[in-house]
Amino acid sequence: MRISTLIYKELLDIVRDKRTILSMIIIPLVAIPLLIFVVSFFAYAREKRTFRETYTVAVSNEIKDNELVRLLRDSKLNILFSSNPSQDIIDKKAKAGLDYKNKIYIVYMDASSKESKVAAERCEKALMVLKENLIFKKLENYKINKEILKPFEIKKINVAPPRKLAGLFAGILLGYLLVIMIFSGATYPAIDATAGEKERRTIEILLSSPATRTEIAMAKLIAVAVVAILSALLYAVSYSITMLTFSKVFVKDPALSVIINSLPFNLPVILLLVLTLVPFSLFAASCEVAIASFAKSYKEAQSYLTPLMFIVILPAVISITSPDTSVSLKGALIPVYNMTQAIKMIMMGEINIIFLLITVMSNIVYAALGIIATLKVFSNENVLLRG
Amino acid sequence: MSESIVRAENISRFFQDKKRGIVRAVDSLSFKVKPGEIFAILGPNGAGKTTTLRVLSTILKPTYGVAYVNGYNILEKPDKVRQSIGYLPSESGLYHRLTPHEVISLFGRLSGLKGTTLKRRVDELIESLGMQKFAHTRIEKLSTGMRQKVKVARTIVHDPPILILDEPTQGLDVPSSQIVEKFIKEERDKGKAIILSTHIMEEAEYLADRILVIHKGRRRAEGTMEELRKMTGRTRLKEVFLKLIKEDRV
Repeated sequence: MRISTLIYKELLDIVRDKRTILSMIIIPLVAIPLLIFVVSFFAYAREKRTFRETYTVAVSNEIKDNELVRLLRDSKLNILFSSNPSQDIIDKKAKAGLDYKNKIYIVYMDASSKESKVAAERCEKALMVLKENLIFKKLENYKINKEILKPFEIKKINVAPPRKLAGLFAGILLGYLLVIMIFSGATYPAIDATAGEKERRTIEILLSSPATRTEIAMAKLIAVAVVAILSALLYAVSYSITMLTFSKVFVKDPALSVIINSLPFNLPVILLLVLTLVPFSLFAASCEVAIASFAKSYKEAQSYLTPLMFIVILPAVISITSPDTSVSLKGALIPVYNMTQAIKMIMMGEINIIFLLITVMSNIVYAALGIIATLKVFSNENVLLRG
Repeated sequence: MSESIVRAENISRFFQDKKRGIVRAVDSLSFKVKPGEIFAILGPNGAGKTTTLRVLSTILKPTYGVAYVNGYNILEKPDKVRQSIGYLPSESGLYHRLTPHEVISLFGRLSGLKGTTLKRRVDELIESLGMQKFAHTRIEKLSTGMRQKVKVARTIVHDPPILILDEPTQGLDVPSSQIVEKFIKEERDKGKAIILSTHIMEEAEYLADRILVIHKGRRRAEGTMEELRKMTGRTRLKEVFLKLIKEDRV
């Protein structure tokens, strides 16, 4: 089979390239986990410090309420009596400020500083307690039971199983990650297999071999799709392992730990993901191979493919910003968006069979259209011999 | 005299150019090449040599005309034509990340060789071209001469009866050129038909049994070196060539 020989050649050529190794193996398996760990470690340490730290609050000289001062001190706040609390924040003498004018307590803060926001929150909480205490005292004076303020209670109970929450959490992230990584993972091999052949002046020897243009084009498409899907899965696996390890090390909240431990990384889920991703990868590969074929150099191909990435990112971002699990069937016809939604569904274990089928079928149709476009490009002598 | 193995009949190839309009890169060229013959297409840059060879190799379709390669019509049986030829494009590249062994095997497999036949042929070429020391080294690490040997081996791995060589010594240093010239003569002596393009007069004179002079896509003259000399009344090939070009200009 000539096509298998051609696929082998394309894969060998791609895999032996240092740039592919870097983008396909080193970055997902080493750089991404390292980056997540380092960034998360510092973010976690900073977050912890922020909540432990005692901050200074500039309290107006007009405030004489000893109870409020006590409450502020109990909230890990040092008091700095001041004639101008807001100016003290600007002068970096205090993280937050508190003033009292015309029966209004004013809390000053610097919204660009996390520490200032935390200090302001503590002030607000102290004021809430003070308010409550004052109301209770007044009710006592009137001999009214303070329970009158609480005619009923509101309790929120989450009925979603941890598996569903974990699936939603992972699905949103994985949907975005896999879709983007399939497209970006296909970019370099697509350029290398098309514009790269022209730049290296190898396209003519391939065209003069007994292999047909359809075989040559299909081999390139399949090789690019294989690399794209492997690259995306490596990213996903690496990301998942990193998150799981990270959660075990850093996350102390038992509820969150239950969710994280319920992440649905099992064989049926992975198989279903791969099955759904295959036509999508072929679609991505055909788009990129067809476009990159018009270029006569790497640089030109990169500039042709950059706008495509923007087009792909848009529906993926829409999916991530609207994490609604109820999906309309029309959405299954929108390329990229349908895939992110399908991944979310699979991860949550709540599969809408019709949506999934329409998604897979429409991606097969898009892939077929992409393949037809690629074959057309490969039958155009002017495009192939440009360079 | 044996039958011709390559027969071009009024092949033309036109291109549409934004500035120049329709460009007649090859215009009604006809020629025949016999087995065991080196047939050189001689012409200045832009004469249409590469386009002619690309048409014969089925990389480009002719606008008009037809050619028969090893008995196969280039329009009707392009795959059979490609099976019958070994094409070496001008300044062609190689897959730098693969090894000579891999490249030769790949093109052998594409031409239908497999199993022990393929292995025997690849080993034979590696040995005959003296590539044993670098057969498993990536091509990106090889010298120009070594790479030229790989290109030659790739071209003939399936032992085709016809070789189409576009400016085969262009850009090569003297030792590398010698490798190619020696290979061309050896293949001719094995009975293969060789069509080569060149703009180097000395190369055509040294290698070719017959020469086709083309200019602006059109045939100017065809014959052996002696016949061309007689035709123009000049002895030096350069003068012969210039006379033919001048005649065209007049």
